Amino acid sequence: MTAGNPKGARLAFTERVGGVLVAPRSTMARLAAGEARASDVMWLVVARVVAGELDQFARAWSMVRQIGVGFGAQQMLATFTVVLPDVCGILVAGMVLSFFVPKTTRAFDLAAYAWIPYLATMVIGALYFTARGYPPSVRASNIVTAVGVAWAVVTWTVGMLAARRSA
Amino acid sequence: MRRVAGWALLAGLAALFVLRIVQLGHGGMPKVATASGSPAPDFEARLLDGGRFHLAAERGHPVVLVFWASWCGPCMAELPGIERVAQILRKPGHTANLVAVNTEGDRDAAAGAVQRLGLSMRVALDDGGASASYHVRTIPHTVIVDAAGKIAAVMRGMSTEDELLRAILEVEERTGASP
Repeated sequence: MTAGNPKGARLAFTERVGGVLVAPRSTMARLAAGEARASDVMWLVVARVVAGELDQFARAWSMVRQIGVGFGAQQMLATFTVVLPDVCGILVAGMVLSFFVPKTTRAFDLAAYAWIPYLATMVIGALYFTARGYPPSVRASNIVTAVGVAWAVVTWTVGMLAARRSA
Repeated sequence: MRRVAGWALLAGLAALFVLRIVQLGHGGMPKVATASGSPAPDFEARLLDGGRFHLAAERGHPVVLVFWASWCGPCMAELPGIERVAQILRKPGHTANLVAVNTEGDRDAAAGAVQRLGLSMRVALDDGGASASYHVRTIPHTVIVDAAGKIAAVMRGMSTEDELLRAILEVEERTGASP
């Protein structure tokens, strides 16, 4: 039971998202029990692309004006491919999770929530380097990615154990 | 606590969005990374005009690798500007070399594009190895390798002449490769 969330009340969007970060065990247990929403992560993916790739969208727009709609659209589509590894990772995580959790558990939704710690790590890294004014070096980028993936894996594991316990 | 963390994440995304808008207003974020980059993967490739290009042999001065293909509209739009940058780099006062790395694996297509655009810069024909080593997922894609053989900057998508030249000059100065 959390402050502002009477016992029995469903988790709000910010509580579902934030709970995965600060209270993964209890939050994943509730998500596995049926409070997961597939749209939560979808909105965060869109927000991540828009916030993180704004300069690429600006380039795409300038290309539309300078070269043509076709090239601009090509650049726009290329920009969206930045999240392809994340989406593939979520799908793979969901597939693997489905082998370990009860059939009634929405494994893909639960696996998607495990991506949120990775997103949080990327956002922190992006904020740091954007504020500093230069992009990260390859080494720094790899370190940030490794931390994000490790945190996501831990959350995934917590979610799996929570789903199995709730069966 | 959950709600606070959730709002913090959303605030972080919003802050990133705002920061990027501010930086776009000031000409975008400088593309040059910190000095401690990873070693640039070595590779060899045939040159369009004969001979071979070997990255390791270029140690001692910065190298600019521009990955492109003739079927890529933004690449073809960018190449004339890249050619002008390459001509500037040939002048005294610069040590960086520029190599356009064609990713098609089709010599005729690359040669046709070079002839159409009137390019005089070095063009290397990649068989896929260099593209894989540098994680080139979309093109155009530009990598600047410093004089010590480390990746100094990675630029995804089209770059203007000014952006590219600025990034190259910064690498030349930072690694002491400029005379």
